[in-house]
Amino acid sequence: MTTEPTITIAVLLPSSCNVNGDAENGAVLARRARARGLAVELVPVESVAELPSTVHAVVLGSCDDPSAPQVLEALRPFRDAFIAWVEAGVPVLAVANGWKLLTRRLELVPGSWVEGLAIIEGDAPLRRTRASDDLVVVPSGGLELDAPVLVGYENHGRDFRAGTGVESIGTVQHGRGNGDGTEGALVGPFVGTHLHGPVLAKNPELADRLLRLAITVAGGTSMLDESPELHALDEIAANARAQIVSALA
Amino acid sequence: MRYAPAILAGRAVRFLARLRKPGGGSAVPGLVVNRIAPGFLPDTLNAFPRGLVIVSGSSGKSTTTKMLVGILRAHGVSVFTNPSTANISQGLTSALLERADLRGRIDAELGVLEMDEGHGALIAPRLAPAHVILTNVSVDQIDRFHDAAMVARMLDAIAARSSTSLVLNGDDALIDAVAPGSDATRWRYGVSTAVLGASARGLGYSTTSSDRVDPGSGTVVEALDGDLVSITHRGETVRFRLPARGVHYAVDAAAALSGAAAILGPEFQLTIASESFRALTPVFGRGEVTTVRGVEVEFVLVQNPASFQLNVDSLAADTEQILVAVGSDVRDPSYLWPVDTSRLGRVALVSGSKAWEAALQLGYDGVEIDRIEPDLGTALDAFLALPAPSHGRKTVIFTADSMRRTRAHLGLASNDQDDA
Ligand SMILES: [Zn+2]
Repeated sequence: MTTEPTITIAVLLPSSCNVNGDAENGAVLARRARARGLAVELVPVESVAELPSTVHAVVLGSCDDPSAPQVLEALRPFRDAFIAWVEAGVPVLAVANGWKLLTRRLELVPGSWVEGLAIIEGDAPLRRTRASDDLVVVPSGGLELDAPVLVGYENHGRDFRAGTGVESIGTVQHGRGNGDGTEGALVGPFVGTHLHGPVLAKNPELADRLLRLAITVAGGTSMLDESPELHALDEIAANARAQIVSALA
Repeated sequence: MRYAPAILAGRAVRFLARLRKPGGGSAVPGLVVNRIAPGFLPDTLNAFPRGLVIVSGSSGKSTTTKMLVGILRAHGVSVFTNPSTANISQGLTSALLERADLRGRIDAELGVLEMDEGHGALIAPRLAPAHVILTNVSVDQIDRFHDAAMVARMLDAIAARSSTSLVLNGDDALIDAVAPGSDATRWRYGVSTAVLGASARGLGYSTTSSDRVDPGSGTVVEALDGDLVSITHRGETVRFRLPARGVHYAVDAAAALSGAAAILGPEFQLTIASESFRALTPVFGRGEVTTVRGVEVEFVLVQNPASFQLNVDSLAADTEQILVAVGSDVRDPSYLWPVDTSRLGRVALVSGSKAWEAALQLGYDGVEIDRIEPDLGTALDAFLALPAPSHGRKTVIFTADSMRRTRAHLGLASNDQDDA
């Protein structure tokens, strides 16, 4: 039996970027890895100084709008790390404002734009009205999922206009998404999405996709075995998705 | 006699609503009166001889209102108050209808009203409160109003109307800063450094002030041991029992003491006030123990993530039979995910229209779940039929919508009105 490497999951700025429980996706990944017998280190990171020397998966949740300027400044020192992660194939999940702050520029208040971290090509103009609703997305081929839809909730004030080289994570079946019929941003191992809260718990296939990438960059060989406890959790998630989708019908 | 026809119409509808649905439908007659006589609500509320008191904030307002009314009545003041959660305009009008004479007057010296922040801000311009008591801006209001700053603005609009006193939570920086231009006297309450330090997860406020309230000039929770609290009000200390365990109840008690001192002036006596807590019974759904079908059940209301966490943390350690119900009032349960529910250990039933999403969170927190049954009636019947727990009480933890449905299903009368 080969010894699998420990998977290190960094959750960035959890004290300010967990408004809808998005930061909890780090714990979801950790739980799913441990259920497969993998060793995991789940590290909350409030500043670059706290970053572990190696990171195999990154979660950045959303902050609320009033704190966005401060969070943007707190994120700037992470720019080099983000670039290194995306180049090395480290999976990154960034949710709503957390993702928008990584774009080239975003409209903070009407007519007033600020430079984002420019990790993801594209910009984030303000919407006329806030998008707050269930969000159902048909995943794009690039995600390589079997699930017919990704299901969750969106609550955001900005659209996303993708720049060069940025794919969406899918097309919107219900909700607003990016504002042009697409949803999210997919760049290599990077996933940006408006699906907030426990998106990875509700959509376990997406979680396992990120986990496979994490295992690969960590140099592991785990195939993510069947796990009875995850089977039970994923059953609950399937019912939660079905409940949301059927309420929309 | 301006309001007589409207009041009579409202009473008739109230009667019909009661016939149709026992214990329910309290907002319907209010709707009728508000349409026939839109001035009824503000005119009636502004007519109390000793003035109007408004209690608002993200959480704790029901308990604070109940404690305050108890203290005021113990001082011999006659008080009109809205049954808690009947705090939307229609529900409030319905509550007023119960007590108003045909001229729209209420026979009470003082009105004490619990108002939710959104609704309070809407009707504040038409109200002239003498005293405003504000509890907190909790971090989790983003579900309904997308940021804390907006809640603070709403509370500011209510506070700005107060003519005589503002009773404010000094530990909550947003509350402490409301209505800077107001001439009203500012009364501050809060907790000691020791009590704050003992709350591992903080107090759930959007922004906690860096400084604590001075017990020499304000009202401060000095120590808390189970339900036994020590509070110092302007240098004088009292010790008494709270209606339930939990630091949030202690803070509510400090708010009520501070509010009563502001309202009563020289009439206020701290010992009379502390003794009034003995007569308090917990509000339905806030730790009330009721016998249902021969079984003792404790009901715990979850209003937001902060109260969810506090309730999970203050649950008696030996509680072995728990039902969790999350209803349609929680549009998106995502915001509950920062709550650590692992302490529940094992839950007999998860129910409500958001049962699956609630169960998903409990499951990821490592809580064992015996059964998920979205239909609340079925779940309650099954839960009550379970053999009596060997230790601890059967405990139902529910959100407001599930609370209403639970009450209707079990035919429970209560000192509460519907939360429409
Ligand atoms: Zn309201």
